[in-house]
Amino acid sequence: MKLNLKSEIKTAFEPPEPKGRASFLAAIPYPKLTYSKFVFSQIGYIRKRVWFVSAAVVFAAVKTVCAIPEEAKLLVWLIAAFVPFLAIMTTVEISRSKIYGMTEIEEGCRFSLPQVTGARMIILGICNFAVMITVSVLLGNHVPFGVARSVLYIFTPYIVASGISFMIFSKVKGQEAAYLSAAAALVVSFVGVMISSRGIYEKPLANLYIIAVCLGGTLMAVAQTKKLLFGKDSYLWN
Amino acid sequence: MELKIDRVTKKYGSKIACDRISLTLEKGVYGLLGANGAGKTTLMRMICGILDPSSGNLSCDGIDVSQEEYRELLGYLPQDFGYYPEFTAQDFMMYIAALKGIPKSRAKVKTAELLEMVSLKSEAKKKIKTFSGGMKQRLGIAQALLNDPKILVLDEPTAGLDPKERIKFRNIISRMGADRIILLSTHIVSDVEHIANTILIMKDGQMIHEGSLEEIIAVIRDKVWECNVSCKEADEYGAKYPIINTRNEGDRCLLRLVSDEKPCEDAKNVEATLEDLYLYYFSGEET
Repeated sequence: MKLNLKSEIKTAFEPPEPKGRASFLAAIPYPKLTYSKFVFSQIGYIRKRVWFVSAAVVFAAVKTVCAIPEEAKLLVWLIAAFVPFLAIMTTVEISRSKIYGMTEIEEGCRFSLPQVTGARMIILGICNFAVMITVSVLLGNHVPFGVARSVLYIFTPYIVASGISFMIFSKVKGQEAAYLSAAAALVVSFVGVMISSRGIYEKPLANLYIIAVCLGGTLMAVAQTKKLLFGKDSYLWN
Repeated sequence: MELKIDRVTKKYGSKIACDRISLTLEKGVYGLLGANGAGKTTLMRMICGILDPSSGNLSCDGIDVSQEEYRELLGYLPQDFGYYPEFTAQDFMMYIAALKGIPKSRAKVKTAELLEMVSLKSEAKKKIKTFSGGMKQRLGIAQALLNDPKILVLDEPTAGLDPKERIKFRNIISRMGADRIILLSTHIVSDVEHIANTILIMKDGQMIHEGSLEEIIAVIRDKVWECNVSCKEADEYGAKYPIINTRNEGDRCLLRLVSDEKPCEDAKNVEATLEDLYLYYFSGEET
């Protein structure tokens, strides 16, 4: 009987509107993302083409080593000529907030633009490093100059192209920076092809020069990265 | 909650965009008015911590605006914003939610709620590149509210909205102003007139007025006149007084102008509005 009364009352009367529901919900502390979880969440926002190109490079190296190991040396040069474009694809991905005018919105968020840029750098940096080191080791075991020099020949054009591209992005705004970076990648790639096709790397002291270029590229990339992560005041007065 | 702006100056080379601005903002809606180049956007960017002042301090309850803790309280709609081309409205909201540190499950609920609020629920799965200017603006407003901000900074939020959307937006802002700090800049004077508890007027980088609508309008109270004159005389009046509005009525002109004294015999003293004050200060400037 009592139960019936309860259900009857429920059907007979409208329940009152909850008071202060919004403020009550707002007062509940909800778990917040940590920076590591945030970095992880950003993986999903990296465009698929970046993963696809990285996978294609590794696949080409594995296929060559398995099927035609005698062509490993040629593939080292081909990959060395290609990595500047991988570098540009990466810098474009890292700097896409600038290209698409998202910087101001992102800077006003809890994880602001430098943290977003840092997250993308961590994800793509780890991915590209893994790809290039895998390829260098795989191919390096089948070439006369060995693993260490394979690492040098593959990493140097990547680092130089990255440094130049970051510098372009710090000076030029929007889509133009991406086009200029692509042109820079073409130049770096062309220089690499000339060095390999003319056998310049076999000349005495050539490797020292390449190491010097690699170090110079690293310094440039580090300086530009610092600017990208800690720079401010890029907004002009209208 | 108290947002303190203490003698803030921003210089671009030799140009001063903001000149020693001091303000204390508490809960309520603040409307920021000023011509283009007055320094409104620069001030808003400094309040959001995305631009460092050349001198002075900005803090909220002792938290500097450059801190992550402060940005957690902040919602910001910039004057111009882009979007990633592959994003749908929902992707955009989820992406911004991640940047605001909101977990995915809560972000989904908030996204659905806010897209409904700005009438974009049916467009949630559509790419932003297919959106009209007004739809993009509504999406921008929705993203600013994702973290239920305690400080909401909106740079020209009603630009591109049709009158119906503007009124809806005004009502939302009015409601929200009860328990947070809302600062909005706009060229649409009536928006500020309707929702702002406090009106701030900037000119040449300086804050020239701060107060309620009544206090602000008091500057030109009893000084706004309507005169019916010939079109030839209208030019002479134009040279002598700041003209707020001119309406042609056949061979005569109805002038609305500001003057300390009665400008002509048949001049009628009319009630001053915020628009009168705005035009009085900024007529002749690019707006």
